[in-house]
Amino acid sequence: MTNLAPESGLLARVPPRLVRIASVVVVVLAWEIAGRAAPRWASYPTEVAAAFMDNLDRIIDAFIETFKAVGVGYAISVAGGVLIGFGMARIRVVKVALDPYVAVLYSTPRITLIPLAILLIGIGFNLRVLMSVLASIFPMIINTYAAVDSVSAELEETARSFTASRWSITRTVLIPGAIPGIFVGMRVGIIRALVGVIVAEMTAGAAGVGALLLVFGRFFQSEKLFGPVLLLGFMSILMTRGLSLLERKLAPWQD
Amino acid sequence: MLSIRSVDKRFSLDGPLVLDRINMEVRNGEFVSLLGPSGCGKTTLLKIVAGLLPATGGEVYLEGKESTEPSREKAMVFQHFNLLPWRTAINNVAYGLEVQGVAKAERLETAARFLKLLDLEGYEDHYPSQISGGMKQRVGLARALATEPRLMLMDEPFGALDALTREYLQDELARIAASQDLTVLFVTHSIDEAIYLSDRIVVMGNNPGRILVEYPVPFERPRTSTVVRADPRFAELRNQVWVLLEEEKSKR
Amino acid sequence: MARLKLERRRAIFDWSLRIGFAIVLLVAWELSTRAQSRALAAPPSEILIAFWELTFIEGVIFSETLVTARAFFMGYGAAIAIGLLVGMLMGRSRLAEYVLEPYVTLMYALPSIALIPVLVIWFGINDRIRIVLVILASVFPIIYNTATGVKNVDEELVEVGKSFCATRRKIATSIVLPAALPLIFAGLRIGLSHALVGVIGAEIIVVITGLGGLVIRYADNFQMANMFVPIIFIATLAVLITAGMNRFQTVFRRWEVQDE
Repeated sequence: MTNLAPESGLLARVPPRLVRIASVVVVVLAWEIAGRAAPRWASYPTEVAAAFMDNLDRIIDAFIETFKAVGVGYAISVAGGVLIGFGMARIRVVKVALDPYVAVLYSTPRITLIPLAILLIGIGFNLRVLMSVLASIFPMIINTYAAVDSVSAELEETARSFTASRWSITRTVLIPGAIPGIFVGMRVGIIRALVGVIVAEMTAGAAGVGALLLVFGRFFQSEKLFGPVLLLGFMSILMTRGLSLLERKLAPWQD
Repeated sequence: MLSIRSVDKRFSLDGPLVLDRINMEVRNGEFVSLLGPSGCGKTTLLKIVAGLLPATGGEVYLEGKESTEPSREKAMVFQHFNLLPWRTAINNVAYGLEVQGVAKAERLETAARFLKLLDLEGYEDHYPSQISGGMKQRVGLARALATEPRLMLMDEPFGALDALTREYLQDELARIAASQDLTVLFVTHSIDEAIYLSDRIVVMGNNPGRILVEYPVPFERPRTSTVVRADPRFAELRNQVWVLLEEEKSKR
Repeated sequence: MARLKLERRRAIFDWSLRIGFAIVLLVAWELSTRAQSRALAAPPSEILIAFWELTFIEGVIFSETLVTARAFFMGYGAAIAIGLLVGMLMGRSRLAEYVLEPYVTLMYALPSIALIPVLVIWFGINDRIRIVLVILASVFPIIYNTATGVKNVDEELVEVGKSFCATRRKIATSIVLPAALPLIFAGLRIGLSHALVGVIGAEIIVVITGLGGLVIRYADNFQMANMFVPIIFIATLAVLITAGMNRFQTVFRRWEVQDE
């Protein structure tokens, strides 16, 4: 760790956690004071908390609805992305044929496709699943591809020298070697899957967190709005942290 | 038992000749070094023997049978160890047995035995990232030995190690080669290492890769490196090989 | 020579495969949509005609492309400036790091699309929402990666600078910044894709302007063939901007390319 401007004296003796907590306390207090002065704009923490508790049932229902779609879409993306990524890394014809589509769709915001998706499958649960798959499968494909492709050719050769078959090379070298890269894709993908569902809910859905936010926003109820927005942020952090923990369990050899 | 008969190698159809009519034998229990400058094709030759690369022409026979694929009779030790980072030491040693279909209990027992032979007791559950380079290569050696091959193929196995570790492992290999009655084909570019370890040295030259000359090594076994290095024949042989390689260098 | 020939043969094979696969897809698309109502599906042949009309005869596409591109570049440009500045500050000062880190972590993880209702309360349904959303979507990955890059510069490299008695400023510009570039560019690339989602998302969900708005308007009028034209333009814009970023990155990191 490089520190070009080492903080002298005081900060060196204060534990970082304390500074962080102090920072959060100060900001929350400032918000409370400023928010009370102009409540229609930004509300304030105590009102946000009260509104959150008042609407708890609706909020919980909306989150369950949203995360059902996220779960299904993400599962499809992980399975499909790993399979396609593996295929592209190991079978040249697959890579050559799919490369242009993956590259174009990966850089194009898939939100563009939502009117088309609505026409094709309507506006129900399936739309939300489809949007979350579209949003999260490309990072899965690209990261799996890169991960499998970067597994050292020397390790493959080593396995071959011990008479490993194609399948046992896949099982003992390619899959474990690709796990860290696949997890990179999974961490990006889980957030994208959530974005995809919320986008679908905001444009077409009558259910879920996206729709709830629109309802609260339409009547300028900022005090109701901030609770679920913050909760979304915390859920996102929780999900990526959870995946990191899972990775440490599944791939303990990394330092 | 290993017989290499006029092996040629090109990497593409009309590419340059990398190996030119290589003929050599390794007898049972013999330790033979392939010595040469980098780029002379010694590693390529080793990989052809291992069955990792196809020869363009010629054949490789092992115990009288043509050998073109990797097989249980052969095991390889690599310069950069090539341990699987996601396997603990014992599971790396058991790897060869595992792909060859040995049952779990048996392969773990064998792996433990070879870890012990290489002084790695207590490190069974360490991942490669947690042990030193010298220990990694001992795991690599144990992995090859555990499959109990007729022929050990070693590709500059000590090339990536520091000088002290290197000498230590050379002694270790000499001891094991004698006690296990190994047959070894050993690639190196160190003249000292080749003399100390081998029964016979095959010197290769560049462009195209070919055999220049073979030297028998006159020292009795068991050897110790201090005794070998103090022997006047060591300096003489070392000088002979060195002059030959220098001449080969100036020809280019 | 043989290698060259082999490479050329391989390239010919690759392109015939790509083109062949594309033709199969297009034909399947054409056949499956031909019989359907034009209000529900558009065959590629009609999209081609619509493309010609909207682009070269009506010209509406270009003006809307400019509207989208302007908001994108203003927002993304501001995000780069803010992101690099705040990121460097967090990387160099531990106080700034501790104070700001909780918010950067939260905002980076938060799907920025969810902020649209909040922005509507603050700004009304207004063109500016797009620029603000682009900044909010892209600034946090830039901050996070810049800070991490600057913080994790190899101490030994900094010591080289110190051993030559370089000033702190000189060390920052000649050692810390170049060493942090790989991560900074990673942040810029993530920010770029978030920024694109931000601008198009705002156009589709609330503002109904630019290329995103055009997609919605055609979709609402059931003009399926027309709808694909702005989609094609958005994809082209996105691919061009991404390619431009990759190009920029290779220019800035020449020494790494030489390593290979």
